[in-house]
Amino acid sequence: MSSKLRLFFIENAVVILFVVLIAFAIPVSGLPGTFLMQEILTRLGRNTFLVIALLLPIMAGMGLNFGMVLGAMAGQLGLIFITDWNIVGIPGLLLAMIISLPISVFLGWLCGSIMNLAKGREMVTGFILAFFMNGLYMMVVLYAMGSLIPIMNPELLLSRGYGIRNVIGLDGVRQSLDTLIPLKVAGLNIPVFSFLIIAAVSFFIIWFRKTKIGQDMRAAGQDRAVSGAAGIPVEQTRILAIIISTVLAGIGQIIFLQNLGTINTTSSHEQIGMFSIAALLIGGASVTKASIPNVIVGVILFHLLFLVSPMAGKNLIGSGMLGEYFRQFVSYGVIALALVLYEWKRVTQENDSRATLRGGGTPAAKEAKGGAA
Amino acid sequence: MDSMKRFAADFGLPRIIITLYLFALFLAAPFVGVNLPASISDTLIRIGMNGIMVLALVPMIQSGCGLNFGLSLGVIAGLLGATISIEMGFVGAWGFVAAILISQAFGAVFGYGYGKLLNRVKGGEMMIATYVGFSSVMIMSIAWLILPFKDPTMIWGYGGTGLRTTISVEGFWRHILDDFLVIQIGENFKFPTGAILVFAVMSFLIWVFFHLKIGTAITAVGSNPTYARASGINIDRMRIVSVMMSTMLGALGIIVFQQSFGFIQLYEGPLYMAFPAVAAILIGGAGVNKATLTNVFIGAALYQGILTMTPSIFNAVLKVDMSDVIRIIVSNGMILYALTRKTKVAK
Amino acid sequence: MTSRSLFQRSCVLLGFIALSVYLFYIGKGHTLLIDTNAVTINGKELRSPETIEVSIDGKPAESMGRAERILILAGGPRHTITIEVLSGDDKKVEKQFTIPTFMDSAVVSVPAILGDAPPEFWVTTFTAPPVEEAPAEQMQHEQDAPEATTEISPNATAPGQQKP
Repeated sequence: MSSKLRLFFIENAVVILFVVLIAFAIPVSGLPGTFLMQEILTRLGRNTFLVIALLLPIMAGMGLNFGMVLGAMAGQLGLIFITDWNIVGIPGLLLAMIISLPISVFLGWLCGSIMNLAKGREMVTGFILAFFMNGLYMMVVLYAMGSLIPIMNPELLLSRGYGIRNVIGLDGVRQSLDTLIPLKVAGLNIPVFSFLIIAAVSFFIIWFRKTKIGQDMRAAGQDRAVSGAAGIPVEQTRILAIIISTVLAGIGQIIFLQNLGTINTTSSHEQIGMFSIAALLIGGASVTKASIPNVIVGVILFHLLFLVSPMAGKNLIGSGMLGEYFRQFVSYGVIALALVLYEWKRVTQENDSRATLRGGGTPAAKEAKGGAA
Repeated sequence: MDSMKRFAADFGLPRIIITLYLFALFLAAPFVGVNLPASISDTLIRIGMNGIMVLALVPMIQSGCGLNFGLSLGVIAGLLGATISIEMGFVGAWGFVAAILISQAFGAVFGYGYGKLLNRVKGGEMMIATYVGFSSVMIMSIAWLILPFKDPTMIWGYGGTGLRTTISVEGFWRHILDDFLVIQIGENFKFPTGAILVFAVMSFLIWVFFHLKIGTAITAVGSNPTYARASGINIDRMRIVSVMMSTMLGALGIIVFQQSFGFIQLYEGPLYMAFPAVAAILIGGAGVNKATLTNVFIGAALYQGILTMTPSIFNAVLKVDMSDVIRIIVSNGMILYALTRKTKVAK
Repeated sequence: MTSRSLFQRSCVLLGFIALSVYLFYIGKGHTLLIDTNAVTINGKELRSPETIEVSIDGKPAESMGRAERILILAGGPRHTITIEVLSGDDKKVEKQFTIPTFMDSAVVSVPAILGDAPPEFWVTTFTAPPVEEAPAEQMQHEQDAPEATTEISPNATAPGQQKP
């Protein structure tokens, strides 16, 4: 095998592994091709925006932004309000996005600032912050709304008189984006407008990378100390990356929910961080490098897996749950793998540079270094 | 005044707030019709239930591996111990001991592999611990479905495959510790002597361990790696020991938990079990790389106190149950606080 | 912050607020009750033809008889109603009407429109009858949709199963 081909396989090991896995699972599941294709088109329109929200923090060196859940919460709050006020159609969605904007910006600023306090541990911090914010979100949605925050439509409230119901129908805005420009090709519905929006935000990211602020962000991501010395406001740049990520997550969640047509007030946002991150990683991204192709490939592969696992599991051993657990294992596992690869590489690099500084060193140092190799 | 200020700064504002909050809850209890002896009894039972899991975090914190979010690995070892013990038909005290012994074997093996992995990724242990923990729970979920267990109390009825989601330990070793030498005062107060005794004994053993040569070596690895290296301590080996201890204690912890709770929770049950323990030890004053037994006791007491008192008081006063939301905010807020604190470790 | 950037930011903020108000206005949803019951306007009684077909904003037409009411959900202030009379006269009428923004449910009277009554009589507020009423009259808000019985109290977790 030529070395170029070999390099290709190593670089894209994760993606290739998943393609093989899915190629095996699709026939086992017995699901028809047209069904899968339609589902993938729908899910691309629905989920891609959310995954794109993860790109900038990676570029800024902050790793996988588990804090994107905060943006999702902001988006949901926006949707709850427009549903309460009964604003329908595209204006409803736009208004929801505008309402979520200040909330997202604030939460993003908060998240970025807290992450700055825990440099080197941004990912865990974001991870825990998401849970913490979930608590505050539930406090607002389940207790403050209807009591401290006026809700006009009593049908949204729980029977106790305050707090939003568990499930809210979004009939007013359901599928508004998807059906704006209807297109049917070979019997498949294509959500043209959603794709247009995704294209637009992709171009935004590509353009942003080339701006001065974008370059600053990338520099801060590669080496904080050097960038700081060069006059780049590292702290603010990092916060900005998180703010943009949170805002995009908010808009992305609104797009996601308008396609689903219902909000589950307590759980719609919970897994969104994990799913988006897993999808991005399956698409070949790493903790330090991610681009638009990773997003698209990742969403397609992740959701194909999502779709075929339950049926494949059922046909293999007669239990649909097997497929479900397998799918979750894959999601968690790919994140674990990406994290291990990243940290391993980082530790090896640190040890190498330390070794060159020491020029050999004491036997104890050699032993310690050798243990980590 | 100065020493008080220093104490307050060290102890941390969040912890002061939490202590005052719990104090307020206890004070309010008799006034709102909440039965104080029953509440205290409940809290003690819960401390006995969860204490060892909190204890399990100490070794890894001390060795510099951070907060063990991957405690679920130890829990899985414990689950294997419990299910295999039931499968083999052991009941009562023998069943309990068998479960523990089997779980320790698994715990040691899991801990070893887990420790080797963590040694490769020094600096990023916490996030990896979390996701390794999650992935393992999911692999085990698949395993629970296909492993050849036969005991009728454990598998699905009507010939389904695999184990049930929750398995009752009624008739096996339910409450075996709680009721051991139990002290019953009046009709509301029950002191679970057995559980507290085991917790106390384990804590004592850990205390002794950390005063042995190997224990001090582990502490050195966590607080001053350069010194440790210079003293000829094998950092990697000490870390593996600490991870194995943590996993094995976690296995023991879940079995103690199950005897009080009454059920074995399989599949996705262990997924988030590390988090309450982490929150508890942090509430008790531990940091990301320093933990003492005092932290464990205070933390377990405060955390379980809040968990027990909040629902009853809030329900009585406001007629609303906010306990779940408050638990989420308090425990995750505490972890967040600890993560963002500047550490005074000499690296 | 310089006064110029303060000015710029205020402009952006005002722009967003203006946009929000606009979106609220053109997006507000209404429940339209197309009504063929006879009405009395200015002393004259107007009645609806026997069968008609009604369409709002170009949506698929529905046929109605006399003394009926159908429910159509619509968004925005301005709407077009197309009435095609199938019995007797055979005429087609197309008219525009507006719904005030804060009127959630509006009764649109077909006889008033067909009878060339002044536009202010076309649309009236719907007031729900006091106690229980027949299902056809009952308000059907969009939010009713998946009224799942899942009113799970947020505290349905066992002591051992705590989500962080």
